[in-house]
Amino acid sequence: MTLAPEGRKLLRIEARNAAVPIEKKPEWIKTRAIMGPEYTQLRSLVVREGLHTVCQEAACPNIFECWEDREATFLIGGEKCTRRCDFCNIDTGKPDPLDRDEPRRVAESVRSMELRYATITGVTRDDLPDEGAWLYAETIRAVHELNPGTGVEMLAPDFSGKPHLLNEVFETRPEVFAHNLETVPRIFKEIRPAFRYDRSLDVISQAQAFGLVTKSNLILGMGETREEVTQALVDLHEAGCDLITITQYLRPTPKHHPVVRWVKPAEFVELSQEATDIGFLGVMSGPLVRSSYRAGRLYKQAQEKKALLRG
Amino acid sequence: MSTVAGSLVDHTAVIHAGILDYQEAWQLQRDTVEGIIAGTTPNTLFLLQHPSVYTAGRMTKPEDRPLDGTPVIEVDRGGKITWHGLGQIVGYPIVKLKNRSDVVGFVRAVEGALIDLCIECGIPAECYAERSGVWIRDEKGDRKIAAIGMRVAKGVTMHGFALNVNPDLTAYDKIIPCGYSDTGVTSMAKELDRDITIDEVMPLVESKILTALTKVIS
Repeated sequence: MTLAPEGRKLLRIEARNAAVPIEKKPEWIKTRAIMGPEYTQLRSLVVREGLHTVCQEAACPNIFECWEDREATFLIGGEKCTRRCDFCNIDTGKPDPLDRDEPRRVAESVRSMELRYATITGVTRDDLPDEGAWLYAETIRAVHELNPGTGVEMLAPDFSGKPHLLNEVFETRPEVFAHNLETVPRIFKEIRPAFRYDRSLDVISQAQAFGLVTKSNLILGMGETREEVTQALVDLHEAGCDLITITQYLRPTPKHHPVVRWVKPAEFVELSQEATDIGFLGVMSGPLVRSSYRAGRLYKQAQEKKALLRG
Repeated sequence: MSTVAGSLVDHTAVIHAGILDYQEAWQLQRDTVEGIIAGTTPNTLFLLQHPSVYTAGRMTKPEDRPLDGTPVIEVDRGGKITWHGLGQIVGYPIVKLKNRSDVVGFVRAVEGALIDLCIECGIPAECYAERSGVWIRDEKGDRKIAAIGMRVAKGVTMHGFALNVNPDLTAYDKIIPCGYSDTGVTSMAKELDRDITIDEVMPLVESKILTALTKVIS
């Protein structure tokens, strides 16, 4: 029997993944960052005040760039997710009880950090009757109320596609409503067993119909083909997705899905052009792009284009 | 703690930190060491300049220090007293060593990279058997162009090197640099007798040091 570092027995899929050794990364997967004064100031504040952002805790390679622009991401709902996706390093398990004070604390952090743009994301909460809709909605409300000038991007789970739960979140009017599709239909079930391709597209359609700016993400390198990426982009656009980020899968631990393919930088450039041609209002495409990378800048781009389209 | 973004911890990140206060950079180093030990932070090479500051390693003798009361920061690295300031590229490679006890091998790798760099720029630099750092040794005497002072704890390196590109060398007059009273200090600008800038040398430092690091890090 193989044990995970936490001491529990490995899931069958984890054991299968672990049989494939960690791949060597190609030379273009490297981080090179410029650390500026805003970053330095924000960093010491975060340490001093004991604040938590996904940016630091996930050791995101883009932290220097985003923080320099006063953009950061927060994870709500606790540290345990009720679903398991094969690329994600958040623990799966029974979550802690709902923390009703969390929205206030996130809003306070956004204020202390003087953020211009905050992405709020979180775990799925299938254990709660409302799947966490109140928590998500209340956090957006709290951040908006305390920080009228700050843009909020909601990177949400699917709330099982239920319109009344999604509407509860939509009504708080985040500047961007994002829901990540992540991969293509053929391998979707294997990668995201608790989500569904069509349901995720429908979540985006519902947000678009409500009148929100919508966004999604595709992670490449998990077994999809180049043609399937094109199809997913077309599907997303037809579903009403305004903004898209396209990224390279990096394997968090041996328990996670092996890296099937390293997408070359040139292909990311090509995909960026393709997505623009398909009609997305904004695209970020690159090996180390992450779904909330330069989110504020992408939102602005979408806003300008939407205004232009309206004439 | 989670790595939602996927793991990059087996790669060396290069961070250009501009001009950064010594104490702030030191804190940053300590945080990075902690992250590397915890497995959440990649090996990281910081490249920066410090505003003028004197720092004293564990071996500093009282007579090496400035006599006029200029403040000196006490540092937990090997070596003696030195100066940092504008015109000098400071590099802190905070990395997990392949062979955790091979500190000497690590220092030699960094030294070698800086020697290569100097030679490529037209400066006949060399190492000095029993003295760390990068030296120019000719009829005009022995003089140091780059200093190295490291510390290794739990197999992770800390502190680093300082390469004089075009600093005001009079700052060294107040101290006995590295405790050597029989030698001098120099800079790339002085050796080449021309203007040479940080921007010109920085990309070379980055590529040379990164190449050297791949041989010694795990």
